[in-house]
Amino acid sequence: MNTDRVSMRTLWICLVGYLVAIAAAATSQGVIAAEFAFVTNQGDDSVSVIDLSSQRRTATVQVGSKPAGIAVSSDGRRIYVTNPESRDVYLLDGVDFKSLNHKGVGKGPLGIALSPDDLRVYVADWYEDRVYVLDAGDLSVIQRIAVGDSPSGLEVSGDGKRLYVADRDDNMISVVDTDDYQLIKRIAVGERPFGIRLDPDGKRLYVANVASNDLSVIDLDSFTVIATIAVGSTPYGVAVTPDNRRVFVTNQHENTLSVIDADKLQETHRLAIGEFPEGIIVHPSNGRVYIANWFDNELVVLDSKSLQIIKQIPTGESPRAFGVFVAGGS
Amino acid sequence: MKKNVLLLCCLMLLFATAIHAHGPTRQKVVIKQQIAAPPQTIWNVVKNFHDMSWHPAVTNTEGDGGNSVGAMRTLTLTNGGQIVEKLEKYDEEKHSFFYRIESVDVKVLPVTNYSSWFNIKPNGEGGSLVTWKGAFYRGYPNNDPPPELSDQAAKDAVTGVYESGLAKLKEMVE
Repeated sequence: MNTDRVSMRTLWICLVGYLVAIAAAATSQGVIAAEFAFVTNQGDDSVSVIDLSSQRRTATVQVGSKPAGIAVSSDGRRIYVTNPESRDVYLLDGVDFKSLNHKGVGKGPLGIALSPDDLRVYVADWYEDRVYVLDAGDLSVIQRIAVGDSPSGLEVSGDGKRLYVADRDDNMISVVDTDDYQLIKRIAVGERPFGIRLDPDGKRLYVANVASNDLSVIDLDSFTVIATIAVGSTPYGVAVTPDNRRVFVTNQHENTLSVIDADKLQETHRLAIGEFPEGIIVHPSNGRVYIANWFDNELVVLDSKSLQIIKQIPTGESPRAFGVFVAGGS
Repeated sequence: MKKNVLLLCCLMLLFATAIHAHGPTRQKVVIKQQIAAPPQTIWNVVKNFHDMSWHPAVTNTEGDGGNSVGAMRTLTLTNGGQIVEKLEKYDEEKHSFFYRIESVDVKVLPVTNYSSWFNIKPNGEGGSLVTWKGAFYRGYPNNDPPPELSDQAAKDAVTGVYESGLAKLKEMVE
């Protein structure tokens, strides 16, 4: 009896110690990372910095002309922005919220993604039909990769070895080997694929097809489309919960959000979300979904479980937030 | 003959891609107009999708499909140009509808990938607030557009359509 109590206490002490250790690890690595959302405002050439704890816009950084694409490093300290009109990429400081550097890239830089080690930046050029590989430190061009027509959404696999490109006007996903920059596969999807996102396990790629109003689900072992799920009108962006259970799709012309059960591969809900929803991401740990509404100039905060809207946070003019705009988000 | 068919195919292909290719930055225009008449009175003027004769720039208007989603209308403008539009959403109760341009020559209206909302709400004082808004890209899909196909030209043209239409509507019902 007594020994039982002692062992219980030991167990408790161990458990508490373990939890403290986890919390400490999280603080040293990840917590800084996902404190902010960085939203590109195409209408006023700025990036809104949204504090995700206070749920308010706390800073605005001026960038190049008509910013659209965004990528945030895994520690949240470096922010990369594409400006298709001024044809450059900006590097922002994610702590002091100021511009550190910018360089001209191609003729229409749009989609952007970072390698998981944060050393390379991939930039899709909408007009040149290729992807630029940049050094994430000084933004110098390392390589140019020819892909399909009007490349837009980009994703990089968790091991960094594969780059996925939505070739919007070819109705294709290009798969690129990042060791030798060779195109290794092209996968036919729906019409006008734009936003894409990997599930956090890296087993699937979700592709929002703007013109066919559906979502292609690609199995990445076999490179085959395992499902095509009808969603609302003009789907633009896609996001996945960290547990891979739910997929969210912004239906731009319908002002709705499709919620998809990732196991059943079926749409379970369609919610009114605000006008012209575009960029979307699920936070890595707080259970919330962030959605940029282009027409309403706001970032909507949605609970990923209850599907209740928690907050609408004002942004700049015409927010796009096209890419991973919260560190570690999916 | 073979050459002609080939040429036709090429042209069709060009046309098909031209519909969806677009410039880098989507534009928006929102025009609001206070009108001293109840929503229903204004709605009665605008509610038939195929009949846009109330707009001063429209000389002929025809269509089929009534007010069902998918209904089409062809507008002939005072400048002789034509616009084909498709109804995407229609809400009798909320006095609103949403439509897209299916095809238009950029010389007629310098826009691509155009979609638009028309909405009437009570303004709380017995009158109405009418909102007409559009989302679209400029007429020139590539970089360095000529001035008449620039972002600004697109915004100016759409603003002109909305402002003149709403002014006429106000004049008709007040």
